Amino acid sequence: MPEKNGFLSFGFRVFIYIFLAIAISNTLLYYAANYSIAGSYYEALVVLNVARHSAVVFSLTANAFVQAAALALIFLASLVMTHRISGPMYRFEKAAEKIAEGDLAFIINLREHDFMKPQAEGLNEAISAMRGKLAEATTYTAELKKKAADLERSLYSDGMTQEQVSGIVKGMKSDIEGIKDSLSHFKTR
Amino acid sequence: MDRRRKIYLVNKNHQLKYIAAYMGSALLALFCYTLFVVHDINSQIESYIQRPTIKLSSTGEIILPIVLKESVYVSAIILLVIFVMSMLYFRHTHRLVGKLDETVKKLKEGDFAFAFKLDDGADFQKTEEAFNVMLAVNRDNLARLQDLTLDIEKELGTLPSASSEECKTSIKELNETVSGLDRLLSGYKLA
Repeated sequence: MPEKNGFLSFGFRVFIYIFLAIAISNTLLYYAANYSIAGSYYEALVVLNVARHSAVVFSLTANAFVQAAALALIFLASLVMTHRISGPMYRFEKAAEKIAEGDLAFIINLREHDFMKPQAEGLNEAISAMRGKLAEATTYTAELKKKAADLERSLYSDGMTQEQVSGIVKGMKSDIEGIKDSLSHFKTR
Repeated sequence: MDRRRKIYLVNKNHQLKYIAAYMGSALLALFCYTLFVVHDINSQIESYIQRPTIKLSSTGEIILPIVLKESVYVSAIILLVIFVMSMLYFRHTHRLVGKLDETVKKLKEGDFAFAFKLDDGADFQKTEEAFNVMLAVNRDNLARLQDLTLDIEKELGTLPSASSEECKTSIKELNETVSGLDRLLSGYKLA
């Protein structure tokens, strides 16, 4: 499953940022608090205390910037990662709202690195199937409406024979079969 | 401001939860690393001060083993923590994808007679609500279309046997039902 690799590579990236922050902190701390020790015990004592002070001050100040930079990178990586899931879910939500409003003339497009692409394709197929079946039903209904108007007109004119009327009714029955067939695709109960 | 929020935080609940989890872990790891390093350097220097017989040429001899040891420990722990977090995040998404797959399959088959449930707390509640509204609206509309079709079929079946006066009424009713069907279908934007 491609998503699993995405999660692992994201986790690895976060780890690398932390590891780099630690490595840079190590190097900086080493050079900031590395003093030569020579001479008497008292001189060494002074150097050790200076080194201790430098190590503490450096760890709490300069390294804070390195670590803040790593945290900023992690924030950006997490934002991008969560977008790969939240983005498609947001698009699905908007698609559901459009369908509820009766709009079936659209397709769901996801960004290149988004997850859930198969689900988006599946939803597009579902929308397309629905659009197709309803388009069929609409075509049959237009025919049916025309024939129903003809039938009503026949009531007020003497120009139509009984046979012609029967023909219209037969045609209407055929249209209604077409509509029934198109709508039978949908399970509503 | 609202547009910017939408671009960067599409789903506040979901995104902030995971961003906070990863950043919190990183912050904790880096804080622990700093704390351990400072503590170790302090105690190591203290032990050298207590034992002046140990010879050192530079303070780097104290610092280097400490920073290397702490980086290995902290890195190993944070690697494990991040791996576990990523797997939990993956499992959460996998469950979400599974639920979506089921829904997509049903919708492809034209099934609207079900409720969409992600079981995901508040993360994707709005998506869940949008899907359920869509299902309910279409379920009602399509059921109404199916009913109207059956009504028309029934009305057409009674036409030939109807007497002239009844026939006029029946045809008017039929026309009204067909118009109802047409109205309902024209509510859909298909192209």
